[in-house]
Amino acid sequence: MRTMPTDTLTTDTLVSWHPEQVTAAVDGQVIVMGLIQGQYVGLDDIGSALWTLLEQPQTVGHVCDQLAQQYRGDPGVIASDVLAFLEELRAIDLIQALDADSSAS
Amino acid sequence: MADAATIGWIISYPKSGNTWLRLMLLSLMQGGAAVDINGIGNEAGLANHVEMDELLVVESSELFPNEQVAAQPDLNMAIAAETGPGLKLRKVHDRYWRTPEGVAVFPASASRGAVYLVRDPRDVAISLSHHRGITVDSAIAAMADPTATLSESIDRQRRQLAQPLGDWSSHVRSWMEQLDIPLLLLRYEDLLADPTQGLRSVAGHLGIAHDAGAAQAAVDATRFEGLRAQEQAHGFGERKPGSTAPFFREGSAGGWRRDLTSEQAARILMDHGETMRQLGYACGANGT
Amino acid sequence: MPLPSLPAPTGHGEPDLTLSRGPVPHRLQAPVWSSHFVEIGADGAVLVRVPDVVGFLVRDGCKVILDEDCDAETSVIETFLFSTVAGAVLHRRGIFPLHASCVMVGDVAVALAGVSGRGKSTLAGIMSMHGHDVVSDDICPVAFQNGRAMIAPGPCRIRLWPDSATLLGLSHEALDVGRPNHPKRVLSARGTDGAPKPLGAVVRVAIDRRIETPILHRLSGPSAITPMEELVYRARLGRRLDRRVGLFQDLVRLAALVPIYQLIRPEGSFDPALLVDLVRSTANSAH
Repeated sequence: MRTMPTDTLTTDTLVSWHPEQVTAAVDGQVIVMGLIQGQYVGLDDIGSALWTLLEQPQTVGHVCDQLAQQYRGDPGVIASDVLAFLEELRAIDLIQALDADSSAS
Repeated sequence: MADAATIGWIISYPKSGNTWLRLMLLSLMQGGAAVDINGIGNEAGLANHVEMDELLVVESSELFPNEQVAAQPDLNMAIAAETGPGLKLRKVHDRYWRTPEGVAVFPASASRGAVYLVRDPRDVAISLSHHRGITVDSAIAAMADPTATLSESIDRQRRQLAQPLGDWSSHVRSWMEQLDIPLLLLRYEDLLADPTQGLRSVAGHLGIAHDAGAAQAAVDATRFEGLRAQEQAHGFGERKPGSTAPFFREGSAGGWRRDLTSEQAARILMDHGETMRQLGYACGANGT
Repeated sequence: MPLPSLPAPTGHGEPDLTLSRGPVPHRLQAPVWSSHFVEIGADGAVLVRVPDVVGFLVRDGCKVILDEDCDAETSVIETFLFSTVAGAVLHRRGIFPLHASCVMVGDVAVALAGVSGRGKSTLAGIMSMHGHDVVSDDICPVAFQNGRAMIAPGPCRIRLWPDSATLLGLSHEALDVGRPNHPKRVLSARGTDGAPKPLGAVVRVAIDRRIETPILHRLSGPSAITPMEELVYRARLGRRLDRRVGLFQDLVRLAALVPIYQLIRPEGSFDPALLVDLVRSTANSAH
């Protein structure tokens, strides 16, 4: 059940794991199952690293900064890739976007 | 309960362009993206035993054919229900039919629409003979056989459920004459002549939102030469073992004039002439 | 009632699953879920019906009631008891049902997994003909004990289509009847005793029309356990019985304990001995 408006994610959006999902790892790679839609996703190395960062609420921008330190790449490209990826995760209710002015409930 | 998907049935007698149309539609639904002919998996596939096993929770291989038939309307309802909201494409080779109890196998309540892709039976006969590795005469006989059925499991497990075909004329008529599901009839030859227009009419009929750019991109992504090149490089899972030609073999219309004897062409005309004329085939003198 | 297919029970104490004849309704009063063959009641009861043939009611995951009005032969009862009904019982009890036929290779069990039609049973039959005992056909209950995955043996009867029987060099008459007048027949293979067996490997069977010789490779990461339907027997039924999270966690645990392989076989004819060698090789892998 979504109470937040479905605005496009920006680098200022605060995101975190959705409470209605289960996270696990197989051979060090993350697999997440969403309980709302029942879909599950296996993540590669970068995806797994990104996912780990989201256990606590972070702004998208902060996530991009941390990834840019770990993986070389153009910051602009990283930002657009991360935003696109997070939109996909949000579409299947694996992550939630929190109001930037409030903390996670 | 969440909205069930509705189903867009893509129907054709075998070897009439069904795979090409589905590839175009799948590309269109992703905005005109490139397609991998071996990547579609069971997307928009034929009803199969795995689906009956998994969705209806039964060991379908232990059922008799009449028991599977009785469960097919429920299977199609379950396919619609199990997918999320939105459109689900399904490939169909069956003629339009009902179970012995009178229940429509293709339930109207789960259907958004149906597209029947028809092709000149003279070209179908040639394509069928290559695909099955049989003579053209055998193909013509199969197309005139009112008991023709695909994928019957007799001595071995077939992947797909049995699909009653009937003869070619009855096949077309059965879908044209049913009133349960809104039908768009499309000729393969017209789709070949103007694929963008054909694709857009199908998308309109099935309620697939798109723009002209995406439609053009989908047509470009599924050009015959590209599909054939993919098959040459990687093979194609839908090609039958025993086939005497590549799956993407010719992709044109009218090859029958070159490949059928006049006696064979006349036989097809005798078997199916009335329906052919109704569809705009064989309208000229001497059945041209 | 006698069930000739099950291995002799080991251990002592009261049985924790009973099978008896009794009244079984045609349909449940107010099912929370139904398909053409299965219904789930609000109280968790599961009704399994093959119209005009056989009906079972599974109560509380420990009582299976066979419709007293059913006059089907034992072989017919067993056909559906050891498939859908067994699946319902296992899901209801929270036991992970691996969708696999399983054989012994040395001291470990190797599970041949995949959806219907991949050739699990045929491959188990081939292994049996090469001297390997059969642990189970089509469903393997997995228990996680002391850091190991253990398989509970089931009926060592393998269900085969005529072409598979021919491949194994077996005539139609040599096999037992399953459902009368049905082309599928039953191979009574040599089985094991009833004690649980350690699972040494899971081999997911796949088919590719384009290849000519079989290929075996090790899977790792999330793709080793997805899609779920390839490894979980009747996953949809499990989800409807509140096992969605449990099955996911069991799959993750399975992957942590047992090497998972993919065996891709051609569709046409090929040398069965090649498959035997490949399956045997998985039992020797360290994890």
